[in-house]
Formats: sequence, structure tokens, C-alpha cells
Amino acid sequence: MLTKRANAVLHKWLATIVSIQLVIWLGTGLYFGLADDPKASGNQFRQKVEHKSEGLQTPTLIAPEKLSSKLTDAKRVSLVWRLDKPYYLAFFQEKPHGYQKQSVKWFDAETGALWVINENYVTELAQQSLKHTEKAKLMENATINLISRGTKDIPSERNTIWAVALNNTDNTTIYISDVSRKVIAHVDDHKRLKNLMFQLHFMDYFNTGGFNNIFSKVFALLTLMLAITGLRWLFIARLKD
Amino acid sequence: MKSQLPRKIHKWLMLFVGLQVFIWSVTGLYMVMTNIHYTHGEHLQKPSPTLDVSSLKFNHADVLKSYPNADSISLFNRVGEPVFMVQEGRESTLVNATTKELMPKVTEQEAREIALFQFHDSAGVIAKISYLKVSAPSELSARHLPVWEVQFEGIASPTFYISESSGQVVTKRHNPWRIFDWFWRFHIMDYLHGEDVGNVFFLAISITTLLSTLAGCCLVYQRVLSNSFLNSFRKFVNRWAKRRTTHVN
Repeated sequence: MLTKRANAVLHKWLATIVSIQLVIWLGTGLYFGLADDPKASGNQFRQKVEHKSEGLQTPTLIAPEKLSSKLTDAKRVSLVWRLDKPYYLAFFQEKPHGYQKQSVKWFDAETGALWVINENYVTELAQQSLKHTEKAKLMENATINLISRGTKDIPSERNTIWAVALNNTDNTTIYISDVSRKVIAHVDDHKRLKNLMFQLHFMDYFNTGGFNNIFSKVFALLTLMLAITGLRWLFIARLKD
Repeated sequence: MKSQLPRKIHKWLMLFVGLQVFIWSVTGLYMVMTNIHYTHGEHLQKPSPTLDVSSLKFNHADVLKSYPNADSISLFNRVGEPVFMVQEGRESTLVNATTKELMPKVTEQEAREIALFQFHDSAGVIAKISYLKVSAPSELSARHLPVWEVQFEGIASPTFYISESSGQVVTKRHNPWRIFDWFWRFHIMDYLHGEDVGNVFFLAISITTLLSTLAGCCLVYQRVLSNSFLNSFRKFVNRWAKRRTTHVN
């Protein structure tokens, strides 16, 4: 059992170690509670993309049996539409969350050819996802990059993504997944501020996109010890005085 | 001269918020220590079995003729037999890939078979199965109704929720996730729904704790950084400089 003096010394030294992080946790926690800004979602210029228009003519599809040699070990084969064109999407490794590493192949459902997306598709999709009066002009000056090793804007993403960076005042970047071939996020400076707050709150200094990291584990343990020694000091030692 | 004000502020404010700080520490520690994928029960469900598309009697094109407005048509294995799931908006329909017949809604017996087929432990035993049509428990979103709730035996009480229309496991739960959910409620102080981070209790206690913590930081500076730590650091630097000078001479 800790003596009153040892408890006080332990509390003091634990506070020395975790005090700054404690202020960061409280400050960022307050930010999450107070900054209920819809802009922080990054979606102020985002609109839903309809991949299959109403009344679209039924296409002549190639039978997936003809692709069977390319579909060995597939666990799911879906017929889906992207920008009004039908495709077969074959899942070889399917994880519960879209950001986890997936293994898929895409085939043109009318020709059976492997479908690899290019900058034209990415540009068209990004433009359709924009709700802006000058979206054509914004897209003219956009820069497009293929990212295969994660990005600070979407740290949890483990799949290859396309980034369409617009040259607007909020520095909006539109992210398109190479797995789902859909828009997965619009990230602007408001959203980046929120991301920074999450990064500080989770102590995610290696950009993993999660909170199960060594810093948060160690500091959470030390903070619990700080709270216990503090409560002991407050309720057992101090109040008796 | 050390001011007593930070000490008084820290002590009296912590008297009000100390218990919540302890709750934040315990709940935060649980959340960071438990792997989020384990918490989500991802290990509870086996990966889907592989398909054999070479021997299909009907394919996506055949199904599309019957459902021209489908948004997607997915082929997968359900308890060893290939089925098509047709998605039209939020509605999903199952079609037998061998007969092309519309599959009836999932019965209790089929829900048992699906659950046992997909459960990670082949020796798993179903403890309870219930049909939920009108109201969902707090751990299930009402949009998934109607579902079969299949609870397995075991200390973690793993539970699969199987859609009556699609036969898919729409979500799963086990006790570590339930504990996480309750801890989350206590962490954000929204004890009823666990959704509103901006609730008045949370904001009031957070602001009070922040003030108390800043007072605590002043105490750290007064009692540690301005005294012993800096003195020790100064002594260390002096000793090092002295040793270096002796070494050079």
C-alpha cells in the first residue's frame, strides 16, 4: 500500500509526464463537442453520383462463365454499374470495411476485358461528385495522382486511391477508390483540421488512422494511474486534513 | 514565492470532476488496449467460400432480364449453394442460382444453418434464436429489420443478426463490443444514445476539467520543472561541462 507521501510523489511525477497530453485530450475533446460545423465533414461541395440512370437500356452482357479462368478463387461476383456502364466486380478477399485491404478485379461486362481505370474516368467521376457552379473550371486546373501507400487525408485507407486536387480556396481533394471505383471522400482544409484533432486525440503520430497505438496505450495507462493517485490523495489524504 | 491559487483551483475543481476523469481514464484505456477489429467481432465470421462460376445454370444476364431496374446483382455462396442477391434501392431479393426461382424469406431453420455455416467455431452451439420484426435492440440499427437474432453459447455471448430477406449477416456483436459501446457512452457522457458528443454534461465537465488540469500544469511547473527537474538538469549539464573541460586539459 502506498504511503501518503509516496502517493503524492507518484502523482506529481505522473502529472509531469502526461500533463501536456491531458490538456491535448481535453482540448480536442472539447473541439469535438463544440465544433459541430457541417463544413468539417468536407462535403460542402459534394453530391451523390448516380451510377445507373433510370430507364437505361438493358445491356448485352458477356456470361461470367466465359471469364471463369480469371475468376478462380472469387468469393463474390457482382454485376454493377459505374457511370452508366455495366461491369463485373469480382471479390477475392473481402473485408468488412471498405478501407481495409481488399482484393478485387473488374471486368467490362459487355466485352469481358479487364477494366483498369484511367484519368478520364477519375476526372468524370470527380466532376459528377461536385456541387459547384464553376465545377468545370475547377476541374480544368485539377491535378490527379494515383496513391498506393496511404495519405494523411485518409490515414486508415489501405487500398490504392486516386486523388483529384482542386485549386480552390479550401484546397479540396476528391478521393476515388480503385477498389470500389466510387468517390470515397472529399477532404478540404476544414476536414483537415478535424483530422488533425483526431490525430492528436488518438496520438496517431504514425498516421495509421486508428487509436490502438503504443503512445495512446502507454499514456492511457499512466493517466489512469494519475487519476487513481489523484483520487486517493483527494478523498483519502486531503479531505482528512 | 509559490502561489497557492493553482493548488486550491486544482483541488476544488477536481473534487467535482475527479470521478469523471477516472471514468475517462478507464474507458479510454479499454478502448485503446482492445484491437478495434477484435472489438468489431471480425474474427467471429468465417471468410466467404469460393464460387464455381464455370458450372452456373443461370447467370447475371438471366437475372437482369427479370429485374431490369436492379442496381446490382451479386452472386455468392449461401450455405454451399450459389444464390443471386438483387439490390433495388434499399430492397434486396434472393434468387436461386440453380433454379432461378425467387427464394422465400429466411426461416428459423435456415437462419440456424446460415449462422452455423458462417460462425468461426465449427463446434459453436446456438443458445437462443429470436425473430425481430418491429423493434431492434440498441445494438442493432432498426433499418436492418426484420432479422433473426442468433445468439451462440460462450462467455462473450456472440450474436449474429441475419436479414430475413437477404439471408446475410447484417451485423454481429459480442460482449467486448457491448462493453466498448457502454464505455463509449460513459466516455462522451451521453448515457442514453451514445451519439451526442456536444451534450451539456460533457461540455460542462470538460471545461471544468480543462481548467483544473491547467491549474495542475501550473503546479507541475512550480513543483517540478522550476525546481528539482531544472536543478537536476542544470547540475547534469555543469557536471558534463566540467568533465569535458578536464578531459580536454
